Amino acid sequence: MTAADSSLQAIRPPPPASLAAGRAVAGRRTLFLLGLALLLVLLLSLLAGRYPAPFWLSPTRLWQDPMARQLVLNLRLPRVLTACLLGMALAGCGTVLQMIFRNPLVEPGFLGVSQGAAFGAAFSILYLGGAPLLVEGSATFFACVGLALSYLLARRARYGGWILRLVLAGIAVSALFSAGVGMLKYLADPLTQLPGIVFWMLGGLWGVTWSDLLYLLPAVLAGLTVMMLMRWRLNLLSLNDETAFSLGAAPGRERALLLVAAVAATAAVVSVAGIVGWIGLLIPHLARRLTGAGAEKALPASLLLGGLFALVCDDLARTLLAGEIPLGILASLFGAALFLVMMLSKNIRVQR
Amino acid sequence: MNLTPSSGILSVSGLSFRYNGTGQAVLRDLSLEVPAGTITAILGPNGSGKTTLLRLLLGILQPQAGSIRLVGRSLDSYSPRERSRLLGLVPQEEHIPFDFSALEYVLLGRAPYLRPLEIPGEADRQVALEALRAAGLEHLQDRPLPTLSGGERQLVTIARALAQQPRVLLLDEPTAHLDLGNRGRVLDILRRLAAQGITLLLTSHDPGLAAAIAHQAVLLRAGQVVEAGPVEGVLTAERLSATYGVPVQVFQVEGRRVIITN
Amino acid sequence: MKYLQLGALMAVVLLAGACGDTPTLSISPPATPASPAGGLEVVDALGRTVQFAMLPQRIVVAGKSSLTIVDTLYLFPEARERLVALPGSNQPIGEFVALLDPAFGQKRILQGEAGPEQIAPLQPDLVILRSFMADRLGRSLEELNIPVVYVDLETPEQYFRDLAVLGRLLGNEARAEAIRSFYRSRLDAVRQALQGLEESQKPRTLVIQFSDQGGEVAFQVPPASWLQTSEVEMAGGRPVWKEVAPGSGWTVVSLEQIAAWDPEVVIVIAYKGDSAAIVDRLQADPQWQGLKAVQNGQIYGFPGDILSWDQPDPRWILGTLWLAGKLHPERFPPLKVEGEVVEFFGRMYGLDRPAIEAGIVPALRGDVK
Repeated sequence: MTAADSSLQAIRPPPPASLAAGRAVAGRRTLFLLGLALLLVLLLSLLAGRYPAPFWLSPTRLWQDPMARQLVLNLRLPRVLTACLLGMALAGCGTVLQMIFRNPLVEPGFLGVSQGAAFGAAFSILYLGGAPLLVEGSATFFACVGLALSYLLARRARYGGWILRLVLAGIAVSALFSAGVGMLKYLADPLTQLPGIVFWMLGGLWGVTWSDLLYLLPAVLAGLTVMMLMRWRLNLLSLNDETAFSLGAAPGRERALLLVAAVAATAAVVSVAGIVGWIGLLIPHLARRLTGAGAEKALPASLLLGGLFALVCDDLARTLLAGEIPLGILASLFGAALFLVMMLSKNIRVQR
Repeated sequence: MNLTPSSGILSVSGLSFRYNGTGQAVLRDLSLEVPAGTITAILGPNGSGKTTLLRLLLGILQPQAGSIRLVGRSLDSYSPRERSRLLGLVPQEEHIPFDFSALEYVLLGRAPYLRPLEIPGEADRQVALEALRAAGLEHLQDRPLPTLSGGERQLVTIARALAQQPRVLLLDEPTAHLDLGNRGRVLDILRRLAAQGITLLLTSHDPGLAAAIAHQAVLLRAGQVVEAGPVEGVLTAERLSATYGVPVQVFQVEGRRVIITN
Repeated sequence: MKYLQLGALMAVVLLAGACGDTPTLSISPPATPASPAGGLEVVDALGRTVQFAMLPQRIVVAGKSSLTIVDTLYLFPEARERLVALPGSNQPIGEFVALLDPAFGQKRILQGEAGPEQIAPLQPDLVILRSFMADRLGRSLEELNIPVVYVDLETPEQYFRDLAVLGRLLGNEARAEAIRSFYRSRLDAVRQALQGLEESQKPRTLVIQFSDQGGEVAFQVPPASWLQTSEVEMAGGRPVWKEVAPGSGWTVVSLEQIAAWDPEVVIVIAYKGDSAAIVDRLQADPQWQGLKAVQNGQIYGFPGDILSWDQPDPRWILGTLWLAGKLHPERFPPLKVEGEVVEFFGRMYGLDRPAIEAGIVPALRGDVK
């Protein structure tokens, strides 16, 4: 032990651990409550729907009616789980993007990730046969291309600061891929193989069955696991390259790994549910408000909040009216409204 | 040089470097010895290669020729973790758009001691708090970084590097943007760290800084060493004029070296 | 073996007799015998084999573009009892079906874009969908073990195939055969009249749908794969839009494009309102007067009664007959209300003369009055 080390281990007694530990406990408690809320809403969502009458299915009916049971097990359960995973993937991806690019205004829908995924999925349905794994793979590929393009364009642009350049480049790339999906749908689809434009651009979880869920589980779970395992590391990766290097990280490789994981999870859900915006932008901000900016707490909070948000939106989407409301409409409605409220209320600062 | 070769904690020999594509050599055949427990200032005009030298010493750039030895071993031979436990960096500016608290930020300095997927524990928190204390910022541990003043932010960056428990600290222009008061605080802390045995290597465009705290000084001009050695011998009027290309005068005031230009 | 087949045939006949009014039975045996256990098996438009233990009694029609399914079902008398629910539509299908089925008011109208949760409470034992609804609605229904049969009903071949399937499902394959021979005889008449027609003798024809929703006037062409395109070809015309109509739905075209095509004959479809009135408007419009078709007076409104005769609905045969008469008046007689129309509604829908004169004739629009 050198003189330096011993000096840093103070001779006087260490300060009470309560302050630091207290904050840690508060963060853990928030996460626990969020998890509980998610579970509760998940269970309640199974009882929400339009059978046999709008809004509520009573549990007793569940006992008596075999059709109700089938409906809940075969239609509602996979759909509700998919909505939850959708929210988690989008919110997690948003958190990762915001921290790695040091830009609080990005989300998968702004950087060409969601649009690239939609394009990849549509392309593979039309020209590559449309097998589910191929669709996911194609979606992931084009989502990565979208992200890479946004980043490279932002590097080369000469207008404005980094945050502005990245957002502008991302919007341009997103628009390109959206147009691509439109062209595929309108010009190249005489046999109506593709779902409609409304599905791609506004998202929707109607028609989700167990097989859809099972196909997207591996990519989503893998992506979420990587993100969760590296959640503290994400803090490190949001620093300058030099600083991160000086702390022993390989910033390029580690960031690439995280980005690929996040993008793969997002691409998988987009290929099943279309593009749902605003979740990736709003939820990380909300999570940071609740647990602080450190990703070791903010990322899990993002995942839980994202799942909750998407779940509630999807419940409303399939229960409010007789017809299905596209999920993206509700997510935008609530997401953008909440975001505006947050932007305007600078006074809300949660005690950490 | 006054010291025998290979006795310093950091020793550089024959270092040459050029950036790909510019073609121009930024550093030419540079050699340097840094004794342990001292403060060494690397001085020179803008563009003389100071920051590049720092990056090479950190290991983030690879030289075309020459060698760098850290604690007797070649720099390349260290794994990133080993290296980061010995060598810390305090960059000139760290820009973080999110509201990390000072403590969360300093905790990042514990990365070299954590396994790849590990999260800092209680022991790490203690070390981080100690580092904050050493920088005099313990009372600010919960404050978000953007609310700190320039001087406090510089000190917090130093604290983050201290949390690595390094033996060598590289500092890039540590007082460049600070007002007089904060400059003084930072210099105090640097002196204290050196007294505790940490080797400091700092770059500065201001020779006054070297005069204030350095033991050794290295004058760089166009990527080559003009003069290197103890501060008394190096910070002379004629050496400084040759390095910076303007007339420089050096005075002794109350035992302190004062450097002024016209 | 022969006795088993005969027994099965008798069972089918008895079942059919017991379930509905006396249909126009022809003596020809059903195309495929019902499975010996008394159950039923069909192969639908998507190639799926669907099995039933007994004839479905509660049939629900759902999904988009289902108008044709309902109208085709009502070609069979059994539909009245068996059809339980159908979707709402922006075309006045209710008006038509009410003519056929006094109990129509008791049928359940599905709201909006009905999902499985709205359909399940009706306890259907069969849901009929157009094939493109498979991903969107069909799979979810199958997850609930509700039997789904898909139909295309877009081209004449598909029509005949799906008619046979519907006939099996309703237990009245003989009726399906009768309908089929009705259509076949008329198509054969057209084909014979147009025999030996050279390509150059087929007029360049444009079919456009006129719509002015929300004040926006739009002219749209149908995709090449749709029935409207087949109708023009069967009637001996050359559809000018065939190569350029992309995609999977009505596509807006500009007047400039129409002028570039400069077709010899223009047919205007209007789902809302009277297509003949639209034709008058266009003939008075100076921009349209530059078109060859308008100058020669070869612009016509597609006829219809309560529902237009162009779309995939049993009425398409009337549309085709009318078109043949318009495009080749020298080879094929013009469609007469007295003749074909009355016979169609009589034999296909079982409407007697007074009912037709009260319900169908007043609703006639387009270039057929």
